Amino acid sequence: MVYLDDSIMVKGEKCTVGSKILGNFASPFTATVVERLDVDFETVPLGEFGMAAPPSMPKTPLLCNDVFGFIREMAAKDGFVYIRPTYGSVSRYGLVPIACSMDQIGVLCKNTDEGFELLGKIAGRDEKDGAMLPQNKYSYDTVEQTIRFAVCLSGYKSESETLRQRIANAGIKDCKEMENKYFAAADAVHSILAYGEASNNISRYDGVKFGYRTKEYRNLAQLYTKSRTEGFGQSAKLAALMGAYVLSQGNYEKYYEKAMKVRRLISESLNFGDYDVLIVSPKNHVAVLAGLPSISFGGMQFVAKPQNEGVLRAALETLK
Amino acid sequence: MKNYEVVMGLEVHVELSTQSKLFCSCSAKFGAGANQNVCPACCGMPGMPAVTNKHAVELGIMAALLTNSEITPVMTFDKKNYFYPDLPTGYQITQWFAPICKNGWVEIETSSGKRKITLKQIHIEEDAGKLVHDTRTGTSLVDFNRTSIPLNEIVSNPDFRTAEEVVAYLEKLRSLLSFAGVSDCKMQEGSMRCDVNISVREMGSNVLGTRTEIKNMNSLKAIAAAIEYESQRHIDALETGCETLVQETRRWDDAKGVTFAMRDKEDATDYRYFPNPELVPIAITNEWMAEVKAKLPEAADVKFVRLTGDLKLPEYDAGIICSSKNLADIFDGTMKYFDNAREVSNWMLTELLSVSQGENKGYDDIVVDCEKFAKLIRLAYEKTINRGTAKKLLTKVLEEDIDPEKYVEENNLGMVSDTSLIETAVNEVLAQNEKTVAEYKAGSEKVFGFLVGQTMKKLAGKADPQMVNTVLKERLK
Repeated sequence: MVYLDDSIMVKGEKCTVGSKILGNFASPFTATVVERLDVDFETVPLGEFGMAAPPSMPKTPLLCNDVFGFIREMAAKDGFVYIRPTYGSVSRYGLVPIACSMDQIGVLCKNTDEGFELLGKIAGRDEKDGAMLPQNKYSYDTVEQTIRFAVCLSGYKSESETLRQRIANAGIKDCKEMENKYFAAADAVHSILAYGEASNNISRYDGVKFGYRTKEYRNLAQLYTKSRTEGFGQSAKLAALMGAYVLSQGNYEKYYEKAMKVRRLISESLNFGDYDVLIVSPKNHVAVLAGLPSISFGGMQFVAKPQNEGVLRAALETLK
Repeated sequence: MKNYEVVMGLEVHVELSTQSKLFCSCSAKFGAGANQNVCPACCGMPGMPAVTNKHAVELGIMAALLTNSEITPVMTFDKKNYFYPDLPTGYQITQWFAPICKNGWVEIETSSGKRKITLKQIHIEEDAGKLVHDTRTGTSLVDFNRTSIPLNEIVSNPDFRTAEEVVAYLEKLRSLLSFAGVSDCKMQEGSMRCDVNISVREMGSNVLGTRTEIKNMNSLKAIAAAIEYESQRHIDALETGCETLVQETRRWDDAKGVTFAMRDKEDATDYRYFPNPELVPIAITNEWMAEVKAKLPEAADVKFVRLTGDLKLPEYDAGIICSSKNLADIFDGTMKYFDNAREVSNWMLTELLSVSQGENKGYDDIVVDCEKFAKLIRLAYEKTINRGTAKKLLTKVLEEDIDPEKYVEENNLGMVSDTSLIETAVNEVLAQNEKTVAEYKAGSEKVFGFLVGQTMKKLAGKADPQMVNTVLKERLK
């Protein structure tokens, strides 16, 4: 049995994405990742558009799209493993879009074997998703090599001691400590871009075509405003407002465009030359920003360069 | 009275002639019933990522080449945000930061001679749907067939000074783009739409006056009328102060012959443009441009030169053929099988067009099998059949798609040129119509036609009419 969070579409089934505004919307088609499964599956709820924590403890293995990091943090805390594959390696056909440059289906699981077995079935090129890497199939085999670890605490100094302790407890030796001058901005960059894109992706929920529509309205403006005010929860409203703000005339260059530039600096600063796996705080959004594969486990987040999931798998196998 | 100058810039939207829509695989064909050509993506449902239609980009490259534009080496798509029921996703995918091309030009010819209209840019974008207002129930209905149809928006600089120039430009665009297969540019079907930005200033000034935008002109005639009206409205306002000019969008009412301000303040909208991360940037390489350039068919003005030059057709005839891509294709297609340009052109302009006009078909709607048409023309030219037979067969070719050669053989329609057969027929006719013969001999020239007709009838319409004429004239001496 595989669990799907309620943003992965199954034909004929209600899809709410955790929000009242989807109303009774039933998916007109099935997601590619679901088509590629060979086992039974069940849909479970998520926080509204993934912008809040899931309402209940998730069951595993769970396929989910974790843009805002709630699943990642939960995994780190509650004994799960969360694997987020390289951006562009798993089809987004049938995934309700939140932030297109960050959406990536990953798996919450008990251990890496379970997780990679499932990922191996669903990952790979799909022509229905135009922004995918060319590889058709992924085997995610563990690589046979000595893993060089590094840790970067920049931007999350308050967690330094905890993280160092966990690294030691996990038996990781020779973990280089390094600084990164852009990590301190990662949080803000992530918020600006994620909310900007999300505000746009939820524009389609307007009470006109499907989903929730307010009962009484006198004109078009009221149809829109009342449907969205009544249909969206706090998280979605925050996203809509923040997103509109950072994209608005006069603010775009200061916030959104600037965030895109810093995002590139962050990506380019991770050279994976002297190290194979970078350990960061589970709260750190760098993997999402740079489209890198990452595994969150035991209070730590392990990040590798694109398509190096095998390295991550090997890294986790060395842990106590 | 001061001298005023009217300054105009145009935004022309043309629908690209692709099979499917710009970002999904729905059919882009015109004329389907409401909401027939739709899918979850173009209805604003979540979950279907946008995938760019390569053919649409190629047509965009063609438009860029045809307008002598500078093509962007890496082209991207952006999102333009606003709420309206005909825009199901709440945003339009367009090109704000890196349009496909810039700084092109189009040469036009008017009564004042030739000049170049310069273009600011061309960009590719998706169309919105259509709203239909049901006055019975007071509801509005949305049809998403047109949503995500690929468009090119062609933005000119404010180079226009007269309505004549505007009309010449639109006709030139239509000729360039329809001949290349980029768009069929039919204003009546909405595949070419034009908005005019207009302002007025004193002659000699180099400061632009207050600008208004006119929308909803559905024909070249309406555009010319709207420009006349609006420029006069501006001049009156400046001269007399009867009203204050405001930068706004105005709608042309063809029935009343006036423009009026639209109630929604569209100019105030902040569209919050940002790059579309779903769509990968597209590199337009020199190789690709060369490939596309090689596919460009012969342009109308080049064809005109060839038809009047090498093929020695009269300018009038060449002009008609070159005015419509369909006619030009029929001409070229037929010439492949029978390359007598004069004959093909005559048959097209006299017989083919008159049959079609009788059926109320425009130049663009005529459908004929070029090989069969060529065979027919050859049969007539080689005098295998006479012209009367040929005309009748043309109708059969158009309606029943017959093969003329086979049909003539099977039905024994070959022209009768055997002198003895004709003489026998003529003799019979003269014997059976003594009264008419007497009238002719008494000086009534016009009954000659009747006698010809009777002879033709006797020979089942297959006789060589010239021979009948000659023999009859001989006999009647």
